[in-house]
Amino acid sequence: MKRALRFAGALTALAVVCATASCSENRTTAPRAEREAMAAKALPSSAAPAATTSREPLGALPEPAKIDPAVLALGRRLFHEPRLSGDAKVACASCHDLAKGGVDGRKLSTGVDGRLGLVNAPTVYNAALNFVQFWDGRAATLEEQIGFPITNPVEMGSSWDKVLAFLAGEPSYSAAFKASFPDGVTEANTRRAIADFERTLLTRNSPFDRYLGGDEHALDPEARTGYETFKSVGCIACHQGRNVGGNMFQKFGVLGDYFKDRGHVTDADYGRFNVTHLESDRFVFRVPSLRNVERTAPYFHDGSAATLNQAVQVMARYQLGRKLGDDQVSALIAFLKSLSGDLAPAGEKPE
Amino acid sequence: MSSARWFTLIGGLFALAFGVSALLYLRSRSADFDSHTRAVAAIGNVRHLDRLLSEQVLAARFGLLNQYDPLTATEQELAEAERAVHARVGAVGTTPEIETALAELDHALAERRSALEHFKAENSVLKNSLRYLPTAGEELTNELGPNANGPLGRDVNALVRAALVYNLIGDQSTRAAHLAAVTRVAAERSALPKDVGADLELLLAHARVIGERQPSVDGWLRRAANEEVSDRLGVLERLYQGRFSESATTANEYRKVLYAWSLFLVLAVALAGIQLRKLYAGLEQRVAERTAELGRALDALWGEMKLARRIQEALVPNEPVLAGCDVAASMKPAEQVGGDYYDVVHTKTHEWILIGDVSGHGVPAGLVMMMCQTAVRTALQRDPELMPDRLLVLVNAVLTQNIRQLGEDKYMTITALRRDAGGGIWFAGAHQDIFICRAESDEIEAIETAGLWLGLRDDAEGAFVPRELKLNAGDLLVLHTDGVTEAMRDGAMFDTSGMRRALARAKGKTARQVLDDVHRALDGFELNDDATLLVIRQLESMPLSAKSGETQPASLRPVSPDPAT
Repeated sequence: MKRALRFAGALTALAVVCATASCSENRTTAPRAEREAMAAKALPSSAAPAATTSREPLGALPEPAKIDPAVLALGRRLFHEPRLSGDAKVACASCHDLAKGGVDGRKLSTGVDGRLGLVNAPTVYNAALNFVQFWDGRAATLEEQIGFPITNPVEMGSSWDKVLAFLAGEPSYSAAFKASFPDGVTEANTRRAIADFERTLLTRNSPFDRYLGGDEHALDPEARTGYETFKSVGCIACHQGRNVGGNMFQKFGVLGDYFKDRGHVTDADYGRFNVTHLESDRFVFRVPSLRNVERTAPYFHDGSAATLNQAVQVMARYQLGRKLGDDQVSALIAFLKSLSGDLAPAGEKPE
Repeated sequence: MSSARWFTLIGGLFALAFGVSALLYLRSRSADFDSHTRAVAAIGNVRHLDRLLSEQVLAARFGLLNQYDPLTATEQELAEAERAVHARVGAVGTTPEIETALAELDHALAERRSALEHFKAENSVLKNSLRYLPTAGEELTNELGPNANGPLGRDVNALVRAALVYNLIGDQSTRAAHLAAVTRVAAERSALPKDVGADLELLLAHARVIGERQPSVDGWLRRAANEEVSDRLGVLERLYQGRFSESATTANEYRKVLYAWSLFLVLAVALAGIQLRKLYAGLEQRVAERTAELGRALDALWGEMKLARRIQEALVPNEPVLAGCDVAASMKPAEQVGGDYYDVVHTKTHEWILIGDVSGHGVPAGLVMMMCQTAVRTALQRDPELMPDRLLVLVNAVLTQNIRQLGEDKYMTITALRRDAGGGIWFAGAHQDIFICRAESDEIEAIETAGLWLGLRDDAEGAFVPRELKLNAGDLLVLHTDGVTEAMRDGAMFDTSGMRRALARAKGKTARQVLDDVHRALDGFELNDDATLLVIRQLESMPLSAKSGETQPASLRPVSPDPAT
């Protein structure tokens, strides 16, 4: 018996050693390899392979995530479904019109019963690449983000109980949920379907991305000049990465008091402060992506800049603390327009 | 103890053994090494990502990283790894100390995330000003024109240099030099033209940004790349490992107990098997003894059955005698004791012929038949002048009562025939048809009988109607029970047609020959019931013999084997 116990003990110890070794192997190989690959892309050091990527501070858009077609169709339908709102008139797409660059073109959006929103609707295109969602970054993921407008009384003005009751009571929805998720209609599945649909909304194939891909002629000379200006005057300090923004917070008014000059400060202007309540976060916002920016006027969280020209001027003054010449502004706008990619096919409305 | 209680006891013992085994097994699994491995890996992953993030933050600070995408990607992975630590450490089991360590880790990570975001924002501003400051200085000196080499030009260039050095070194002396350079340039603001003064303001604004943001950026850098998360991870890992070691020790103890318990169960089952084997061997012996006892009892029973059969045979007349008649009779019971009844009784004035059939067969039917025989003879002894219908009323009364007392569900068909001195025969009672083969015409008559079956009700008054038939010299009277006509062959009954065919050849034959003819005709038929035949040939028309008036069983009389003699 003692021998058997020893044998069993030895086997167990061996199993533990193997399992630990195996786990340790996994931990120290695969993830580290990924990390090093990413670091190699990001770190322009001599250790990084020269051919891995360009040293540009901007990157091309990635391939959209591979989403189950049934989930994708369901997410698209939910995105366009006004019956998710309190008055059955406001869908996600009402403020994020996919045909209009993922925005509604208004300074402030109109929600249920004609109520006016507090901030300008950010585009839903490429939102999947933002490191947090909303101007104030209060949602860490798309799934988390979806709950806010649905329950916000000035946006969709509904509740999850009502939304789930509606979806479960609508046979075509309950069937679509069953086909997509084993547990059918749930809040988590609703969030997941819409978020997964939004993950496909990447505006690829922009001239700038083609340029980064090696097509020298994809950018006209003015846009190329604009790109160089974009880097040299410091826009790149915040609008960087593959989403040309969307990966950090920044104070609006670094080298000038934007809000004092604009006047009539509201709570919405406090930005990130409303989430963290840190004084250092007052007037701090998530840096917006500039992809597709040509189609997303008016600009800023308050929708105060009607044109790209105005927006560039405001940025130069309050963020960069410098004067830009007209040529520079024109070149910058030409570059910004080269960031417009394809809206279709993910932007098509469901039948 | 009843078998149900034994069953409950054994079932309870099995349930107890199973429950104890399950409990020990679960306790011995409380230290799940797979889960432990995953938990350790999750903690290791957080540590790895924490270090990677620190490297990336430093790279971003010193210009080795030209965008924040890698940082945000690592941040997101770190958040996932943090959730994995909670899930996997929780899966192994936590203590209040571990919960506290997890909360402190969460807090450290949240602090780090916040510091990182501030670092990113501040670092961008700092980099922007550092990038722009030389350009602003150059633009300003260009505007100064010939005065570029003057004091202001030199101070501007000194400011740019001081700012860059301060950014690189970041100590108190370089900071002081930078601030002094800012102060020197600012002092010359009032002496400049308005347009140049605006450019100077711009330069100073960025220089001040550098002065303000450099310590701020490095402060956030220190907070974003400090050892707090690593320290918290160390505490968590130490507590967790201690907890798991305790679990593993406990589980090991339970495992030993489980081994001992398993061994005990194996021994118990083996002992139970041995006991069952012994019990089985004893049972086999007892079964053999019981079987032998049953065999003996069966033999005794069969002996009793044989005795009953012998009594029945003794009660019916094997070779009955009727005055002026040639008589032959036979009875084949379906089982050892039959339900058929026939008798020939001689009283002082009459001769009686009786034939009947008790429903069913076996001992109960034979018993009823014997009762009937006794009742008939007793009744005739008391009143020899009875008419057949009256006789049957009396016999029915006795029989019905006796059957009821026996608790049997029996009844009986019977026909009683009283042969008078004049040769006339009165008969009554329902049984099978009476066949008469007329010697003169060679015709075969079948006379249907009617009346109540005996044993069905106490009072049978008026249930029987006496009828008369006559036998002439040479006529043959044949009585039978349904065992004869219902004999089967190839799905067909012998039936009355079989009787008629057998009797068609009866002319000139003795009663025994006729009986044998019928038996031969029955060859190949299967008898499913008692089969009785009584053949009476009227030899001559003669009055009833006065000498044959004793009521005693015919079988007790001396008879000759051949009725013809």
